[in-house]
Amino acid sequence: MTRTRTRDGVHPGWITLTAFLAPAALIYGVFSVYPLARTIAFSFYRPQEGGAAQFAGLANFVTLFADPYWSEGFFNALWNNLIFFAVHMAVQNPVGIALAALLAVPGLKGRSLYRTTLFLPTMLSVVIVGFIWQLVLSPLWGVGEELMTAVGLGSWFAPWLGEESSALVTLSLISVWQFVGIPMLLVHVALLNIPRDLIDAARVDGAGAFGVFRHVQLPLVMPTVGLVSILTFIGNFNAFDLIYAVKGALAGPNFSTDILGTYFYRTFFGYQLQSGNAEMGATVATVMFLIILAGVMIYLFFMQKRMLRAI
Amino acid sequence: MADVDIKGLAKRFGETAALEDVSLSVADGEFCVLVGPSGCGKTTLLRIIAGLETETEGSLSIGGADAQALAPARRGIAMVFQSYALYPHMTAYRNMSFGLKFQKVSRPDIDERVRSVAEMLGISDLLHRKPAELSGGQRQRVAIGRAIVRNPKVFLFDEPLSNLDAALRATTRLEIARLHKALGATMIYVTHDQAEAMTLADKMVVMKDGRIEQIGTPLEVYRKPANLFVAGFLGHPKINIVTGAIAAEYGAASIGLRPEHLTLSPSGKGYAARVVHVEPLGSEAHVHLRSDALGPLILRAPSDFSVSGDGDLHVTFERTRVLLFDENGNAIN
Repeated sequence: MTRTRTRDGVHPGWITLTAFLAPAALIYGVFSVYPLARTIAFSFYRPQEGGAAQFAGLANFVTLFADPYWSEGFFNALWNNLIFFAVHMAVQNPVGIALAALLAVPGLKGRSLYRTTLFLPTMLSVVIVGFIWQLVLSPLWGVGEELMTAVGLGSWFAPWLGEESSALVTLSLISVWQFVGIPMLLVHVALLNIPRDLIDAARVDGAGAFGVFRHVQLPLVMPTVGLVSILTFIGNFNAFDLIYAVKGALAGPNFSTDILGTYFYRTFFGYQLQSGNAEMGATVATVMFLIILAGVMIYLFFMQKRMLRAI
Repeated sequence: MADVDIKGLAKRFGETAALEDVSLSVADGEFCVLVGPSGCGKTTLLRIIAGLETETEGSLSIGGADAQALAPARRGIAMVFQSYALYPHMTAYRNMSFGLKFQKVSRPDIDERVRSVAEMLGISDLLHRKPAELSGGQRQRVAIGRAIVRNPKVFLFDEPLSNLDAALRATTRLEIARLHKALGATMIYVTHDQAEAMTLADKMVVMKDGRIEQIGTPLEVYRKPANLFVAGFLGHPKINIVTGAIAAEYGAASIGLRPEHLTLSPSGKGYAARVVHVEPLGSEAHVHLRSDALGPLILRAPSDFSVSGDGDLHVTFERTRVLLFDENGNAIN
């Protein structure tokens, strides 16, 4: 039996498919897939005398993880990066959710003003944010100490950016300050999407304002929080600009603010007495890629599955 | 005692009044249906009774106690929403037990109550499912179950059947009537569907533009509508309204003739009319007529109705069936 194909029912042919997919595939391939593939490939080579690189298998990775000259710096940066991410998770998400909940308070005056103001730092350049905070927190001429003295907390002031024990957390908090607008906005939208009837039903069921938030609103915005978390994870493990703007490539004091991004920068391009090493740089970049890939996969497998069940 | 007493209730949003001078008392165990076109304020009234909106003025008591200062959960009410409003992240079981947790009911008690109500509604097998895994009718049952479990003095229903398909709507309607008999609880039910209103109500409240037009049993309201609006709102096909000389004969500005009270007379008596269109419905036929004296008419005829000859007929009706209205549209007794 032959089937007559109507004009509308024809399956797109190979030519049509190719024509529509080619532009996106080309751009994605040239600017994303190819550089990534080359980076990974590069990490398997060692430079030789005379310039030609030689295939070295996993030797670069062994060096990175086992040779103290490399591994100390690498694990320091990795650990710092984990702290950087942990501070984001512990502060950015709760504060973002709280701000979103406050923005959703019925009858709030100046809602859009608050929303814009709180989102404003996100739109600023990281370099400007870093520079401003460096000035604010400077123990020599910063306004930070004066402001704290004005409210009676002057004795608590310390040169946070300059002390090894506090520099990393301070930088993390600056980053949180800048980007808290994103979870706030996304959670705010998620809160607005919760049907009014659900909240009314919970009130009739006996939940107070906090009960409604805790049992109805919060569980329903958790998928959004999950999404924000994975975006933060990706952003944090790719971060470089804030540290570089405030602390420079050496990520001082004494590498206490060194994260994978800055470690990669010094490895690849070299800095001061350290000479650049493209192959080791590619190795660091590959490890960063694998860390992020692992995080995203955990998210996709666990969070996404739970989200699908919740809908 | 679970009577609801409302006096002089008004709700205004700035200049616009959603409710004006609403007084209503619902006796213990009564099934009261608030019916009216959309925007008539029936849902607002229900939400005020629930405590989800606050009245601008007037008084409200539930079970003899002033309810105005009470939070929704303390009024002894349970509400079934049009959208069901089931918590999407909780199983049917947790949806039903959610309110009991706040009442500090012990865990074994909660379990017993949820399971016995689930048994009653035939949803015992669905308790572990989330709302997304339930059909519309099943969600509806869980929503009703969530209300019953709380053992409220007064049930509030906000158009609970409007999201169901026609067949399910009829059976669920029957079940709600049965439930009312079994529980003997006071129920206040909002709908725009006159079939639901007629079949369920002990007391029917017809509303329009934020005011109550008429209160009575369904048959009272149908047979003796207080005004033209109520007469026109109830009944399908719609009541025939005749004005002019013939109405004047009855000493009224307009008269209402129900389609089932018109008869066709072959003898040549009555008012001359001609058939414009016939809608056969199977069980009956709706005959659209045009009469020089009465204007356009709809008549309810047996299903085997057919037009003979050129379609010229005569329409008669009994004088006692005629509803009389004055120039303001109010009924004349």
